[in-house]
Amino acid sequence: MPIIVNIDVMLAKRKMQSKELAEILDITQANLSILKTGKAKGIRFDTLAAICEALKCQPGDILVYEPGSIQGT
Amino acid sequence: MKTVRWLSGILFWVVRVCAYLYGITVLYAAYNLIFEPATLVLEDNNRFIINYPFTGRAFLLGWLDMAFLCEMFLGIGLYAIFFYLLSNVFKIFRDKPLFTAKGISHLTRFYFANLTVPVAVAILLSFISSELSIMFMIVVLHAILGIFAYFMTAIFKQGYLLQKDQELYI
Repeated sequence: MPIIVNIDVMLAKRKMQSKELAEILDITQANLSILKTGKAKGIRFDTLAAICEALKCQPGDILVYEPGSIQGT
Repeated sequence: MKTVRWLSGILFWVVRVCAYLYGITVLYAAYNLIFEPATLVLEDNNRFIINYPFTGRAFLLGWLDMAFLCEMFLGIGLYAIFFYLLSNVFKIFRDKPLFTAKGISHLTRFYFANLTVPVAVAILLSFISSELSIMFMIVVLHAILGIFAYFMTAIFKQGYLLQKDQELYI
């Protein structure tokens, strides 16, 4: 999947834990983990908007396009 | 979907109770014919009467004839299994989520049983029984039911895959 989800980077910048972000987004930690590890097939716009609001960032800060890459390698 | 869940909940219990009653009937009949307790009445012309427990009211009537006994035990016993499998199908529609691997396995068992067991029993009983037209009707009815269940299984398999995919959209 050439779309990389860099939530960990933004979490570190905002000094926030995954658990806290999951609670703000009202999703399970398991689902957040699916997103972070690149196993998700897609992200809904309302989820993306909620992440950007919680981490005070832009979609481009957490979504990166790297052609020919597999997330986690 | 709420109505479906409510209705299938009721049907699950009704059919499951039927299955248990048929099962108890088979065991009770077997117990009577093997141990010949007071509830069994044997008549001169090879007839038997099994009464309700602790009563003199007739529950099951029949002949002490191999063909009849085979038909009786196979009929009641296999319908106990049929009702049990059917109750599992209703359970699928009662529970959440709808598309599960367990649900697919229940449907698979149901359609497989409906397509194979009546044919096998009809072949077996055709050697000893003369009620072929009734058996043929039962085989056809169960085959139709089995085919519908097979189509439903295919739909559920597709639904399960789509649901799994959908769960990966966060």
